[in-house]
Amino acid sequence: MSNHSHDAQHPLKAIEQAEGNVVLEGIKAIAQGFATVLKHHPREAVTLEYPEVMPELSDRFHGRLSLLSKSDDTDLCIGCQACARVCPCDDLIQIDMHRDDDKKPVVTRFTIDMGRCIFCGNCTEVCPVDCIKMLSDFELADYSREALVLDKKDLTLSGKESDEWRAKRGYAPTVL
Amino acid sequence: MNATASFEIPTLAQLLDPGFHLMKAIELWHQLPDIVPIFLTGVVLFGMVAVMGQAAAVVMVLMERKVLSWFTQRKGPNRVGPGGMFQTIADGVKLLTKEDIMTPAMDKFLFTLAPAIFLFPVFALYALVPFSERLIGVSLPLGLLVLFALSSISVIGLVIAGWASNNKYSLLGGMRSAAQAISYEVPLILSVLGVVLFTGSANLKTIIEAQSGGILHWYGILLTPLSFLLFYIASIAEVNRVPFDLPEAESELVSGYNTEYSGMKFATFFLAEYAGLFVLSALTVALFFGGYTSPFGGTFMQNYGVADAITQAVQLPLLKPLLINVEQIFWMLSKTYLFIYIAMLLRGTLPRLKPDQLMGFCWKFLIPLSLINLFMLGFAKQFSLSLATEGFAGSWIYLALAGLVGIGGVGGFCHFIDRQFKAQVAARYHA
Repeated sequence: MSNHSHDAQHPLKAIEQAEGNVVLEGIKAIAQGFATVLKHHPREAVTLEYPEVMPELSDRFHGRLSLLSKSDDTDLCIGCQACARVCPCDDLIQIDMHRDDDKKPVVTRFTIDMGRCIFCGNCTEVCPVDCIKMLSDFELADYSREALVLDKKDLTLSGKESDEWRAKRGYAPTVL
Repeated sequence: MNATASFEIPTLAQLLDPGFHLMKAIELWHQLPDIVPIFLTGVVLFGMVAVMGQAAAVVMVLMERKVLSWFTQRKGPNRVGPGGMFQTIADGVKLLTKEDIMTPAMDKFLFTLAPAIFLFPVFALYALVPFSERLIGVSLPLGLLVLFALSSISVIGLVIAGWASNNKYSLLGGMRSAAQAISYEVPLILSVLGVVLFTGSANLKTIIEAQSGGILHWYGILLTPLSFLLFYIASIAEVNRVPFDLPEAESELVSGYNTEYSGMKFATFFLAEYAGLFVLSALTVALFFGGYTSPFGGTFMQNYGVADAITQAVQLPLLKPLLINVEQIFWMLSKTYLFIYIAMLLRGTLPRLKPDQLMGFCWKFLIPLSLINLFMLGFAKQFSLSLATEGFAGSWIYLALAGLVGIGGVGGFCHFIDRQFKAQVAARYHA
C-alpha cells in the first residue's frame, strides 16, 4: 500500500493517528501560541541603542590596529617587518627603520592603511614583542581613503594606555 | 430677518457678560437661512469623523509597531519624540512629500481612484459607530445593514487597485481580496444575526442598551460567545489582517494590491486598513461587549450619583451629560483598543494561511458553524419568548432543543471536521 520505508517516522502519520479532535487541538495550539507571545511581552528588550549604549565587546575583538608602547612612553616596536611580511594585503603595513649608534632599532615610519585591512589579526599573532595589537574600537569611518591611512603618531598608544591594555588582557608588563 | 431693526447698542455690563454674547450668537444662528446650519453641522460632523478616523489610524500604526516590538523583545520606534510618539506623523510627512510614481502602462484614472474608493466607505463607517450616548453621527434603525453594505464597498477599491496597476502581483492581490471579502462576509453577517435576533433591532444603540446590565448581560460573555468568536475571526479576515492577509502577502505577492503604490496613495491604503480595523473592533465591542457601558452596568457617573454631585458642586447643569458621555467614551475606547491589541497578538502569533486553507476554513468550517449557531440561538430566543407567556413548564422543550442543537450540532460538526481532516491527511500520505 505504501511506498515509504519509514512509515513510523512520517509526520503526517502522527496527525492521522492523533487521539484528539483536530478542532480542539487547533484551538489548544493557538492558545499556547498566544501564551508564548504574551510571556514575551513584559520582558526587557534586548536591543542596544548603539550610539548611546556601546556593546560589550570581547577582549579578543578584532578592531582598530595600534602600536603599544613601553611603560615609559618609548617605542616597543623593533621594526622587524614580521607583521608587514605576514600581512595578506600586500603593502598594507609599511615600516621604515634604521639602527642608531648603539645598534638599537629606531622606527622612523610605520603606516597602516585601515581602509584595506581585513582584520585577520595575523600581524598581532606574529609580533615578537607583542607591540602591534587590536583595540575594540570599531568606529573607523572617515571621509576619505587618505584619512584611513594611519601613521605612527595615530597608531601609538601612550605608555599608560598600553599598560591598561596589557593588564586587562593578562599580558606581562613590559620590561624596560 | 429683523436683526437690524432690533439692534441696540449694548451697555458695558452686557458686553462683559459672557451669557449676553452667547444669547446674541444663538439669536444670530436662528436668523441664518436654514441651509447654513445644516451645512455647518454636516461640515463639523464630517470633520469629526475624518479627524477621529485619522487620529485612530495614526495611534494604531504606532501601537502596532510598539506592541509587535514588545512581543519580540525589541524597543520599536523610539527616536521621534518621547518614546517615538511622533514616528507616524513623521512617516506621514515623508509619504506626503514623496514622488507619486505612475508607470506609463497603468490605467491612471482608476489607479488614482482606487485609494479613495477604499478609504471613503471606511470613514463613512465612523458615522454609524456609537462612541457614547450622544457621540454618534447617525443612529439609523437599520444601522447594521448600512455598516455591512458600506464595508463591502471598500473591496472594490482593492480590486480596482490590483487591476489598474497592470502588474501580475497586484492583480493577484486584488483578486484574492475580492474572493476573501465575498467569502468572509457570509459568516460575518450570519454571526451578527444572532444578536439581531435577541435584540429585535439592527440599531447599534438599541443593541448596546440591551446589554447595559453589566458584564453578564454582554452577548459575547454568556449568551452568544460562539457568535462573537465567529464574528471576530470573520472581521479579522474582512480587514485583511494576519493570519488572513493574503491580498498583501509580502512573501508571495511582494505587497499585493498596493505593490505599485507610493507616496500619499500608499498612505491612504495604509490609513484605511487601520481605520477599518478600528471600526470593526468598535463594532465587536458594540455588538458583543456592551459598547459604551461599563462592566458593572450603566456608568459610574449615573449609578453612584457622581455626575449629580459634581454638577451641583460647580452649578453647571450642562456638565452632567458631558461627564456621562466622557465616561462612556472611555469604556468604548478602552474596550475597542483591547480588541485591537488582540488583533495585534494574533499577528504576532499566527502564520499566514494558504489560499485554499483560507477558502476551506470559511466555507467548510465557519459558515456551517455559524448556521448551527444561528439555529441554536433561534431556539434559545423561542425559549425566552415562551417563558414570558407560558412559564418554564410550557417552554422547556425549546431550551432542550437549543441545548441539543448547541451541544450535538457543534460537537457533531467538530467530530465531522476531525474525521474529514484525518481522511484528507491519510489520502495525501498514502498516495
